[in-house]
Amino acid sequence: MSSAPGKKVVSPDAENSWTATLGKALRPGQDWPDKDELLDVVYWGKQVLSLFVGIVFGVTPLYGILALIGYVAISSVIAQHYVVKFQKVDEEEVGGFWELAKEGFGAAFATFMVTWITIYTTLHH
Amino acid sequence: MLSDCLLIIAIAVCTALAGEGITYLLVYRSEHYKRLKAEMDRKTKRLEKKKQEANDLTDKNAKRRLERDEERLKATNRDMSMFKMKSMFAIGLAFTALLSTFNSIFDGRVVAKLPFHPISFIQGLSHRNLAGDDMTDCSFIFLYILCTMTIRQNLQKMLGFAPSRAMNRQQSNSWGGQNQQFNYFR
Repeated sequence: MSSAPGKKVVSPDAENSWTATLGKALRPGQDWPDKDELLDVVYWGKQVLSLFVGIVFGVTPLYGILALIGYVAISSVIAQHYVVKFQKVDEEEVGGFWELAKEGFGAAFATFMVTWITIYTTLHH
Repeated sequence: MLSDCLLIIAIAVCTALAGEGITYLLVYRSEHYKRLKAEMDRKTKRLEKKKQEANDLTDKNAKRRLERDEERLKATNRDMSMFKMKSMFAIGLAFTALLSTFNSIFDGRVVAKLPFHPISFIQGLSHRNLAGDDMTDCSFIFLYILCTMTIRQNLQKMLGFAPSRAMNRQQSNSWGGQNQQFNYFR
């Protein structure tokens, strides 16, 4: 059955765009003409990293202000290394170190906190 | 405690989904909002481009044109905020009522143990309505706010409702970026 005229059809390109971006994100030294796409990768990468660090810190367990500082350091350094060393993009093109560190920081920090608190509470209390 | 934590995460997911769903019905899907958003995106991109081009220019006319464009952008943003305000206010009110209901259900209950000692500024939230002096006891409201922070922002990003970066940059340049802050309490 053919689609009605004017009906919004999702193009295969749009459908596969996130898988294409993921594939690109996992390969080193890719070309990123759209810097927002790279920043999106950094955003979601930070979410996954926060979940992972939250689980590790909760299982270990690590506590106190040092663990919080540790998370901030790990998240910022890995994001910067990913862009500069892995993707070989000049960090000034995406706004510099602070812009990378700030990218999705609030949501990623909250993800880390929720995971850390939940795992710590479950395993150690 | 694990069941409490999971229940709070589930509550936060449901309220975030409901909040975004209602906002979609009342705001995002309306033609007026779509038109304003497209206009805002277009103007923001044009202004950014102009600013980059005019970086090294000292031409007074160019500066004046830039200022005029900024004023137009502010006006569009004001229209968009006004359009969103009524429904946001209604949603905010409904969710505040819902929050106080949940708050009374979890009243005085330690829902989790914090792996850190919160600073005094945070203690008001993390130890709200809890008995005892152990500041590592966590109240419902603290965990709920953290869950909402992560879930709502990720949901908006996934669904494409989050404001574009160019728009955020312009707003933080022009108005100190205060519009996006404290959005989590909505």
